[in-house]
Amino acid sequence: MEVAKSLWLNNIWPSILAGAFALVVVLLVILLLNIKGTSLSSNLRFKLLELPLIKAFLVFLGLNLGGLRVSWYTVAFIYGWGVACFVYRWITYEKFKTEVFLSEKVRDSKTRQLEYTVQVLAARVNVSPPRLLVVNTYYPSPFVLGFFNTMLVLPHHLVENLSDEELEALLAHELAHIARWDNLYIWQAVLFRDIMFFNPVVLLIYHFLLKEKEKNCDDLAISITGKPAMFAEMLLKVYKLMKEKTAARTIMTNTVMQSLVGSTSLFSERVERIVRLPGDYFAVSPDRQLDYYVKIFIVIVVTVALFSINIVG
Amino acid sequence: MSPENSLGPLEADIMQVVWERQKVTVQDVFEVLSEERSIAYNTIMTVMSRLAQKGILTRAKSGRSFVYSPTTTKSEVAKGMLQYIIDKIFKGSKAPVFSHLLEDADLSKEEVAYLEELVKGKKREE
Repeated sequence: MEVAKSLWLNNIWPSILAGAFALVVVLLVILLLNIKGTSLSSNLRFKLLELPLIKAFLVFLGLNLGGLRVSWYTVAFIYGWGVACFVYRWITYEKFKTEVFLSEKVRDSKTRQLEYTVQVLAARVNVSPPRLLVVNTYYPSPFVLGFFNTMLVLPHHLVENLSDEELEALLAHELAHIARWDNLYIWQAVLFRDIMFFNPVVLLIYHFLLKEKEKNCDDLAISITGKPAMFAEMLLKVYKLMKEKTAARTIMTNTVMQSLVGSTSLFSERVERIVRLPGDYFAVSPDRQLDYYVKIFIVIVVTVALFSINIVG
Repeated sequence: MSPENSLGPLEADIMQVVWERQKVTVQDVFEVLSEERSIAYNTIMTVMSRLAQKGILTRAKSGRSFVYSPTTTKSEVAKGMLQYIIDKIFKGSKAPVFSHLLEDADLSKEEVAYLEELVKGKKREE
């Protein structure tokens, strides 16, 4: 009882409050600075949205909490829970990776052509080309595994059904995830969400981050290919293929895809957004660059302030 | 185990009887359960049909009634249900830690048609 009370008063409640406060500040900054509208500053929104998540986490851990007494067993409980979440995630991740490794690989002239495309695209986003695995196992969507030695896994049915241009757009999107280190951010966000499952603010931010991540990668991919309509068309095609297959493969879809929130709105939002991007969205003028640096400066100030101010301390 | 394959309280009670006897009719289950509680024959029949639809039971015609048998063992279902609960708590266990192109969205035909129109319009502009 004492542990529960201590947890609630010193960790859970302050964490919810701190997260909510930080989220309000961050949303105000995004609104006031109008951090949208150009590809240059869209990544800043992602970075800003991470701040309330980190703040809530630090407060939950009992750090960043001057003046409050935190009992040793509360700390042990929290850290134990954190480790348990991490271990669970790591085991399921390793199991999935093994499943992918054991899949039947396709090696033909088309695969070699795609490997070359990956190398060209990787050079354009300035990352080491990932290992490309074209697998015969059915996965509804391509994906990237790993943090440093990344692997790009491409289900063969997509290779068979998409045109060369569509495949290029698809690979560009996946390479954008690598260039942005999204796998690392996602690990962090998922762990925070698992550990702070009680915190509605964290869940909200997690969904915001997922949306931002995909939109940022769409932007980067389109800036490489220069064909927004074709990119949107590719998304629709992959979606339709997914639906055709998943009618017969519901269980696979549930296990593999369910977790990124079966969000109808995100998919529609992405397609609509791409189609409606302003013509000058990707333009980089000196004015825009200056504007970008000013925003970066303000974001740094906000970050320092958020982690210095303690509303519940 | 997918969410639709998890067992409710009455389904679990029925499955206990089926696992014990391996081959049962609705009448057999009714006789066992009606000793413990007040329950209608039709309720059990409906639930057993649903379990057969879910693939947890198979049924074969025998005379005027159906004989039901389990397709999975008790431990398999328990394991599946536990996994489902874990998935619910962790909001899915595999995908979140890597990046992929599309989430599992579920759009209506009208929504897909609307998006296709938008994309066609954009293509014409380009």
